[in-house]
Amino acid sequence: MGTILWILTTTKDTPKTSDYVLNLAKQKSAGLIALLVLDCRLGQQIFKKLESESFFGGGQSANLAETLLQDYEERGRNKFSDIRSRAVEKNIALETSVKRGVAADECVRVIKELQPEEIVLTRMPGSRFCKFFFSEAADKIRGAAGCPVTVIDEKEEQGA
Amino acid sequence: MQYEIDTRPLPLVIFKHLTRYIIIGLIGVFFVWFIHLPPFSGLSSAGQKAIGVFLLCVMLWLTQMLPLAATGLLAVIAPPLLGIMDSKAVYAYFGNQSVFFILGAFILAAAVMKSGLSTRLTLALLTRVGNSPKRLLLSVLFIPLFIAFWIPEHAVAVMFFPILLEIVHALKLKPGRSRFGASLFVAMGWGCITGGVTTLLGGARAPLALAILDSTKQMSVSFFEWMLAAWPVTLILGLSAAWIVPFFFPSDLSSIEPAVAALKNKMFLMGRMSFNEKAIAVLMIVTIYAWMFLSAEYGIANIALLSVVVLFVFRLIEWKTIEQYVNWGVVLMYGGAITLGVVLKDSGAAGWIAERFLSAFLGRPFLFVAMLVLLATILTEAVSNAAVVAILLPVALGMTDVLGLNPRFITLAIGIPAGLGYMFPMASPPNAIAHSAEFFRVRDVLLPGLILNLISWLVFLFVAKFYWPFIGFSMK
Repeated sequence: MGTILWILTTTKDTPKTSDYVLNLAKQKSAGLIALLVLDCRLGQQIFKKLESESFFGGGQSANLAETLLQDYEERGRNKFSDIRSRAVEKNIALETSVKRGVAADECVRVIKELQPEEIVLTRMPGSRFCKFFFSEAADKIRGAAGCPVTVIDEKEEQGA
Repeated sequence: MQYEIDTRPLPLVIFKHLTRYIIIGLIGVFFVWFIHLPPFSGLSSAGQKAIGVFLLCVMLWLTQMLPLAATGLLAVIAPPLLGIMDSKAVYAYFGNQSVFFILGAFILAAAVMKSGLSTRLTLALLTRVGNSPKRLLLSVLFIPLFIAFWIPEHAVAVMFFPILLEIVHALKLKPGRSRFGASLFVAMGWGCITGGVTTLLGGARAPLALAILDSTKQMSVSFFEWMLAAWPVTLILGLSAAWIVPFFFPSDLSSIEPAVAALKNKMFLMGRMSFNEKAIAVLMIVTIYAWMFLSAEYGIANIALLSVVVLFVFRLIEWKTIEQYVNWGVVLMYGGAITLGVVLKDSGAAGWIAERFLSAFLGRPFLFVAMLVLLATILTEAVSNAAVVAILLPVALGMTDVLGLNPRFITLAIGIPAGLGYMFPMASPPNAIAHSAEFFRVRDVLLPGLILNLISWLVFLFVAKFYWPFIGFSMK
């Protein structure tokens, strides 16, 4: 049985990608691996500017960056639990993984280890995660993957 | 070893790598060209060079090509190197009492934060809000607003942010989906910003404004006077924000019970108030009392530093903690900004700029003030609050002689609005922190932020014209 690797590039709702990935896994009778990589540089990048412009203490911005990453991780795990319940309904074997590190490097490492049948990414305008990811990691993933890489565009909607 | 090949077009790659150097180079070339120009009529050679240094710093602060503190260093070294002022005098400005006041205030804020006192106070207030979303929203606006009177606004946002994340998790609010979630983060940011302008403790800009006033005009505004002048602005803006936020982000919740339960649980886990918390609370109350009522006699910096020494006597904080919380760059920025102000004044450059470019305001001083406040409000959306004060105040103080304006009035007219950036995330640290949770997009706060900025401008002018004269801050 092959595997589909879904690299979560946002913790926001991604209905189109979720549908696509779950249908694809069902269609190909493949296992699904959902991977969320928390890039440590993300939080630092947001608050570094405040250190030089607003006289933040280094410790303060480090704490804030860590708080933010923990929040993203929690959001990611919540998202995983939503995906898991849908995967169970469709009888799809799902594995989830949260990793910390440099996004591109971690993804490439997982790709080499798993050799997936297809990789799916989401492009979500407005998501900081997504912007960060697509500025460097997506190209590296395309280069490292020996399989099709599908990018699904999600349109962000505000309000509910 | 891994080698990466950049596959973008070569000119683009080179341009991207060199942009910063190109901009710094162009600014440098402009500076050299400017100071070598023959002096303008009515301006001495020293005055021309002083304007050159001022423009150099303004361009670097606006383009943010260097950290603020590094530009501050340039402002310190350039006057002696250009022969405008001698080194001894320049370095003496680092000894201004406002520099030590802000350092002391930051250290005290670090102790309050590290001890958990600020978190406990916040939780104690938040757990009493009841079960209404509207009351929670108002609490998230007004609690940071009140705490930002006493510790820097960015420190309040840092302390409040994790609590707010717990609230939204407990309520299962999703980023980008929940309008109520967005309203909470916007309210937190705006509360910190609004409260931060009320006292000298809310941020670095107010003490910097006082330092420039002291160095150039030998005048001062006491802690109490500042507070007395600013509180109506804070009150009206707080109430305006309490109307604007729910109007633009209507609540999509009926109960906040899970959030209150989570907060109560967090409060329970904090346990009883520790000795450190109690001691720091007493110390802060005494210090604030002294700043308000005894600073004329003992000096705000002396009071701040004495309290810092007391912290160490009772082992309420470790030096290592202070190093994590306090950014020493503030001293360099202050030294540079104060030097700039003095150099502009002593060389006659400030007066020359005022006469040459601002004479249109002769006979219309209130129009000048209105434009100044508007300029400070606009600028603070783009650059650091402290940089706005450093850029505008020296020139505006130069104008006071020409228009016969009260320098203390002008200091407030720049020092307060320089902190009121509501629109953009980078306008103010609390906004940046609030935005990082991704509950609202930049465009979601553009219109409400613009409205609050306009209200702040009008409120400020109203308060300045009709209230300040009664408390000793007449315009002339």
